[in-house]
Amino acid sequence: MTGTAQRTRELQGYTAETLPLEELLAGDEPVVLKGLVAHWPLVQAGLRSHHEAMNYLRSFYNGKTVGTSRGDPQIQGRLFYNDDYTQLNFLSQRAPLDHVLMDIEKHLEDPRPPTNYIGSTTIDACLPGFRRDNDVPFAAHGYEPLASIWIGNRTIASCHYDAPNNLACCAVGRRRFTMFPPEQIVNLYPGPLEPTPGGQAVSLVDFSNPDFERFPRFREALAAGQSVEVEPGDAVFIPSLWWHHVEALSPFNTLVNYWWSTSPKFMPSPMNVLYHAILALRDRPEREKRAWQSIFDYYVFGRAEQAGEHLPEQARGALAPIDDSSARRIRAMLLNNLNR
Amino acid sequence: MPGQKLISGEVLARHEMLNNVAHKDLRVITRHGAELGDNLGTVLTFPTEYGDVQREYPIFFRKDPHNGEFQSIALLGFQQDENLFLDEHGWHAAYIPGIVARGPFLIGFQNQEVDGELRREPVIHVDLDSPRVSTTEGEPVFLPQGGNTRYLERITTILHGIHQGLAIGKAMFDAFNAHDLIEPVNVEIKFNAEEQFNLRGLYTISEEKLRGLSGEALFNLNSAGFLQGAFLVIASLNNMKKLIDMKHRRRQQQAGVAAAS
Repeated sequence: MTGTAQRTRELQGYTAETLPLEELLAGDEPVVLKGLVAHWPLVQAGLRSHHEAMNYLRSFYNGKTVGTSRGDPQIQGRLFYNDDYTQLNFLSQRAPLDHVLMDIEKHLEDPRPPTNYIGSTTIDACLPGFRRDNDVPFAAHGYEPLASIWIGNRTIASCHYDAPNNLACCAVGRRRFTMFPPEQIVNLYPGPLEPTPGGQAVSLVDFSNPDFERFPRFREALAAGQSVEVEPGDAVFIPSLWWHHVEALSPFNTLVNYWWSTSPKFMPSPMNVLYHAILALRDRPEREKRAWQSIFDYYVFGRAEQAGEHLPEQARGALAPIDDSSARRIRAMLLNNLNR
Repeated sequence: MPGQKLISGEVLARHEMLNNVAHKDLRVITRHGAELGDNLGTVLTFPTEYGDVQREYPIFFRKDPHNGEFQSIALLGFQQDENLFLDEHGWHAAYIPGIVARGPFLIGFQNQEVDGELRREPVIHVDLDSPRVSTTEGEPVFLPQGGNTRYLERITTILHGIHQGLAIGKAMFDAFNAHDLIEPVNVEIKFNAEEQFNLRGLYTISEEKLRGLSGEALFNLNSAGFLQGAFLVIASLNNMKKLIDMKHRRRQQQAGVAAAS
């Protein structure tokens, strides 16, 4: 692994109950919270043995199938693409969670096991009751996060960003996080928008053996990046839209993560804007693109109030702060306008 | 997998998931005619459309030959291939049952993963072997840039009604059975010694049993929304007289044509 310039900041002494959420959000950089969830029964079980951790998970399993990924030993845990990036290099299928555990268990001592992975699976859907004793109380902060579990052997989630904020709790096994601020996108060489290994575009750079001839700007990303290796019980706060490359390093690993957004529910995914902009703007003449850039800077990327504040309140329309009702009107207009 | 499927030498219908790239030029012939498969003596109907159907057609129940469960039908004629509402000028009725109005479209299901959970989402399929499918005549399915036409939106509403109607129908028949409201009915129509029709295997609501229901039973049926269905089925039987008159007129026309030639 070619190293990043910095090591991620670490904070000691916090627990799930004293999580300094507002400070983390204000800080806008990744932070490791050492031992944040060390008290979780799952973490304790995993420290005793992989088998105990697996049995602890099994004790909550309700038998529902989950999304699984299985790859040949030669992909070495890198859930990625075939050579021309048109297909994935692993097989996705619905399967019982305990079958995956059994297969991982069978290969625990195997130096080159087949890749077995259960990515971002809603905890309450398959492990009801698990969160009673293994949880971070987000409700106390006024958020309703999506709580997911990630189970697998040595796997690599290639570098990508997610739209929500993320608290990733390393429960079983060690994990390495390599992270980059959002503006490093240009130096990370993102792959296709679809298909994707896990729902988001991933960097094409093989972090374990970067091809600097093909991806020369990756050196700049490394200079701006940071990384950290965490242990069972540690949590990593990844601010929304930060790129992260996550390697699970042990023969058996489990991560619990929370995704939450601080934006109101009426806001649609900005990915819709991106696709629409690719369709409507990207291939226009350069002069028009620059003009649109100024227009977007004025209406969208500048101060939120700037386009409305010199207008009387009753004349602001969409330039006023958006609320539930105006969001509905704009959504209806867009639906109608797009249907051509 | 789109395209023609061959299973043990038999060509199955080409059902494809509708999309605005592969089917961008798709049009659907929406007029009605025997050549388009509309000469049907009965069609399936659903409680979600009883209100419209009972104004035009008699509604009966029959048992699905595949699973023995009750289903509702609208009667259009007295033989399998006799739709008395249909002639060379079209289908003369204020309401066309959804199962016909949906044209070549069907409800399919697609497994979609949402937040790591599997959901079975209804999607629209199109039967490319339907005689209604065209690229030169009929209603366009998509707008020039790939948006949905009003026609497609109407189809979506119809399919949604059928999808809901299937589920509601099942619950409705369970309730009717629980109150023992369904009784067999013999429909015998005699035009003359040579021409008489006995429609077999039909069921309807027993008016007597319905009248005899306790207040509590009526309340429960009504709260579940099925009491209205029972009354609409009974009311629809008034259309039998209309259907017999239509059959008389058709026989006279045919006799007239035969006499003139």
